[in-house]
Amino acid sequence: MPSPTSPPPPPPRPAVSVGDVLFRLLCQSAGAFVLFVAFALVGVLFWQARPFLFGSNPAQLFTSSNWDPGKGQYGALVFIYGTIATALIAMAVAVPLGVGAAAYLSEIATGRMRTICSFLLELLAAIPSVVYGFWGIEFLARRGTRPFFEWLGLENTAAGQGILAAGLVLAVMVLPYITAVSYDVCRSVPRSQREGSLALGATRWQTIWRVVLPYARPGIVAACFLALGRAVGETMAVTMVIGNAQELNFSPAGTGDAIPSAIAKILPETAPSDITKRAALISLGLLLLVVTLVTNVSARLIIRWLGSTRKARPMPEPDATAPARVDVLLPNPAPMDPARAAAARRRQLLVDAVMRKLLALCQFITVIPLFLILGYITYQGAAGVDLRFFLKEPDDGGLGHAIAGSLRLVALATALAVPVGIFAAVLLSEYRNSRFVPVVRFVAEQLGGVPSIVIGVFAYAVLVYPIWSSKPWGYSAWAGAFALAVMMLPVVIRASEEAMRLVPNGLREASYALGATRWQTVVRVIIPAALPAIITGVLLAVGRIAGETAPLLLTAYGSNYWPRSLNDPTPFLPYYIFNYSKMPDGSDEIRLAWAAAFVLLVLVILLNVVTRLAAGKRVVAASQAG
Amino acid sequence: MTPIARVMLLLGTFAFAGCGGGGDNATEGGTPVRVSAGGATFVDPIMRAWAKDYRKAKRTEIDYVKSGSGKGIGDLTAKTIDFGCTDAPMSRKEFDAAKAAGGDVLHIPVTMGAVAIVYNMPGIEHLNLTGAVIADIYLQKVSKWNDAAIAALNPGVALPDKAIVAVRRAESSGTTNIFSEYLSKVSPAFKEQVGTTKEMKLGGGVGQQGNDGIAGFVKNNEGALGYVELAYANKNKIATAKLTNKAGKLVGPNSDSVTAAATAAMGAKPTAEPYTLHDLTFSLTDADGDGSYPIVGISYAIMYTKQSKDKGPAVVDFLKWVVVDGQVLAKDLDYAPLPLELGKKAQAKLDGVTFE
Repeated sequence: MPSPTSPPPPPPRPAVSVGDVLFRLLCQSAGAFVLFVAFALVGVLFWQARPFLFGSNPAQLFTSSNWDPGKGQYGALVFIYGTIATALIAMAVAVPLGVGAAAYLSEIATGRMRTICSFLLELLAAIPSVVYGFWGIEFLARRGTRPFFEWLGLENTAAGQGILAAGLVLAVMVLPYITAVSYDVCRSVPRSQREGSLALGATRWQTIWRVVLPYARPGIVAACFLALGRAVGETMAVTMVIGNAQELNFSPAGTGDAIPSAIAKILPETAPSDITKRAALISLGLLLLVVTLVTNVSARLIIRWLGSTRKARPMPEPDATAPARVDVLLPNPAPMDPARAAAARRRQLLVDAVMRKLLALCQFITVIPLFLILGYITYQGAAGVDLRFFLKEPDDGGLGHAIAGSLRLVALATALAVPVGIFAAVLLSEYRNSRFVPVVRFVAEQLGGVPSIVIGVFAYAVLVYPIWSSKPWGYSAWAGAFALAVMMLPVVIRASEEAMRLVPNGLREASYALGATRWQTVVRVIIPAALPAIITGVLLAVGRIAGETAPLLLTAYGSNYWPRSLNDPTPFLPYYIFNYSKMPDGSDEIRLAWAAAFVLLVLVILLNVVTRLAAGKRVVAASQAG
Repeated sequence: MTPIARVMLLLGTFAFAGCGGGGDNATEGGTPVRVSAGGATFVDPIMRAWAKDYRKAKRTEIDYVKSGSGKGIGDLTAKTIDFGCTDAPMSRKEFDAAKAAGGDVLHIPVTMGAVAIVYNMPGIEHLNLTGAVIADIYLQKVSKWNDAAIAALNPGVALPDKAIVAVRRAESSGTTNIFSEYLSKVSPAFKEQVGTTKEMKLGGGVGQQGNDGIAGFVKNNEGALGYVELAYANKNKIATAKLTNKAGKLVGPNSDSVTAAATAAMGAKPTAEPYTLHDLTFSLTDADGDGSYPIVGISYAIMYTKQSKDKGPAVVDFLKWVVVDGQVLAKDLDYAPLPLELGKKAQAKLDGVTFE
């Protein structure tokens, strides 16, 4: 029965369904949780630092180098100087090398070389800091800086350990970050710029020096800031090689101490009842937090400023009258004497050849430490790995319990961080127009820059001895996993958000067109499409926390037996690398430490290779959240 | 994605269920009690041996995590461990803080040991030192191995013209307390500039964490000199110096010279803090007697007199076993056994612990 008129359009679907509201709420609460954790972190630290900050003389941290809590002296200049000096050495070494290596990779290297080198850099970035520290003591200090100081006739009281060794270890640690980010920035320099320069007769080197690097400068500066934030907050590697001096020593061969290292060493042995000492240490933690926040925010601002100026200044339209005027104003230069021109050209070509080699050398030097570390640790550790190592407790000469404990901590942390991270990422990617979103994104980025020792202090104050409780909850796997989860969260969020943003809009539209609600679209279409990349991000984050030591010393405590309850102190593998690394050559413990370092290294590298094979994607760039 | 998920699942199962993998005794009648303990590295070698034996005998796991006496006291005060160990009795300030947090604290002596002066200088097979010279080395007044002060004590030894790297502890340490107590007794300059302390404030030198940290550094680095519990020196085959004791005799660190010092020193009633604050604590440094090694200390287990019902009995039983039966292990591990009388007194103290 045909109707005389076309049927009225169906009533528009209600804009929101109950499911949508709930889903949105879920995502928002994940975002709110991230904000809550970040603000709680700052709040808890501030609360604990309060007795010192508002005490009689908080300025003494900066004015005195006398740290003697027993006598009420809290001068922290030794730590502050150590932090600044090591960070400066690290930057002085890593920035030229890293930028040179990036320029080589981006402008000179062939495709295959580029793949190999970026893979090696990713491995370098994945090595846990405790392994760097171990290598720093055993190789860099004993076989590197010590003979160097002796050769120069400088007095070093710590067998090569000290500010310089710590700075060099830091340099190796931040190199992959500087190189990776600078490489990305160099790649983003428009092709036309290079072509223009080459077409004008510039050599490769002139193009790199006059065109590519100036264009990329703001991005490179941002990379350096990110690396600086990392260097300042680094704990384990510095603790192990800086020499633990108690007074200022400005000699290049001097020993020192750094802020994170001092917190890691002194805070655990400070009873909660010793309020002022605790508060002074946590004030230092707060200082560290502020410094890393400032460097990170400056880096983001530079990147944003870079983006906005590029957009704000579009290419000027070619002006038809301009060429004529140039002709009038600038007389053509007189032609050069052919002999002189040829000589100049030869000189340029020579410089070009030398500089190309130099850039290649930068790249080469950048990956040398990787081979030194892998080689030395394999050489020392591979022989110690046997079945007993995996199946026994330390009483019977194995570290199986610590491997089980580490797996447990990492699994628990992943279980905590991944759901929150993914829902927060859905909020950032799918509810982009909420005003809440930029705040969450910004805070999550900043959370990624918080030094791990500070996160450990926070987890201790929340889960081990909660500041509001009169009774301790005790060291536990929960506390350790929470600290690790807080470290993982920013990486998971960033990777998941990027993955979801890359899902083509067509898929979303098709899903809506078929009548799916928003949450159905997200859960059934977007997340499955983004899943491989999300898993990549999660694996990366797992690699990052698997070797984490500093926060676990404050939360999981360690144990000599197989882990049992999640409420008990829990063993973790890096603990044994840190603790046994101090033992004399030839002892059983040092053998276990080498074996543990080897196993951890293999695990982390495997994780990276698997990730890479699975995703075929550059990983360092994706881990930039951290 | 599926294979990855499967691997993850597998790893997860291992992490959570597979922990029984090495716990052979988990199958025989219930789970053993696990006592969480930590602190001094001084006692760690013997504590590990005790824990191993005791676990076989009594199905109680003593989970001792070494970290330094300072952390032992801090964690006990925070009640995040069941008992701690320290080689320095709690100071008045620490004792007051602990009392405020959880009531009275017991100091139970568990073992005695020598703090050996270890060094690494090829060519010097035997080294004789005095307390005053050691103090000067740490005060940087004696900085070369061929200094006249060392040469006078070691006639006929070819001393090299190399710098001495004085190694100290980087964290709050009971071993440092024993060491600095001795140096303060024999060197007025040291007493004035540094004093008896768990954390020596010194210019120069290098700090290492734990007895093992100092042992490792000295063993691995030429020119280094440090102080460690004797077990760490002997286990790692590091040369130790002989010291001139109060009676003017040269004595090396060993179990007998520790016992001699203890016998001589325990007779006198302690007169100074912190020893007057606690029962069963003694200062054994710079003791009288021809055979006494001068740097000797006691390691104490510290615990609250009020204990929880679930862990408390296990802690008390373990420590009662340690102070008498456990002492047979001491000599082999380069510690000195507690006098039986002291062990019995400690047991009586432990009987006074209440559970709630």
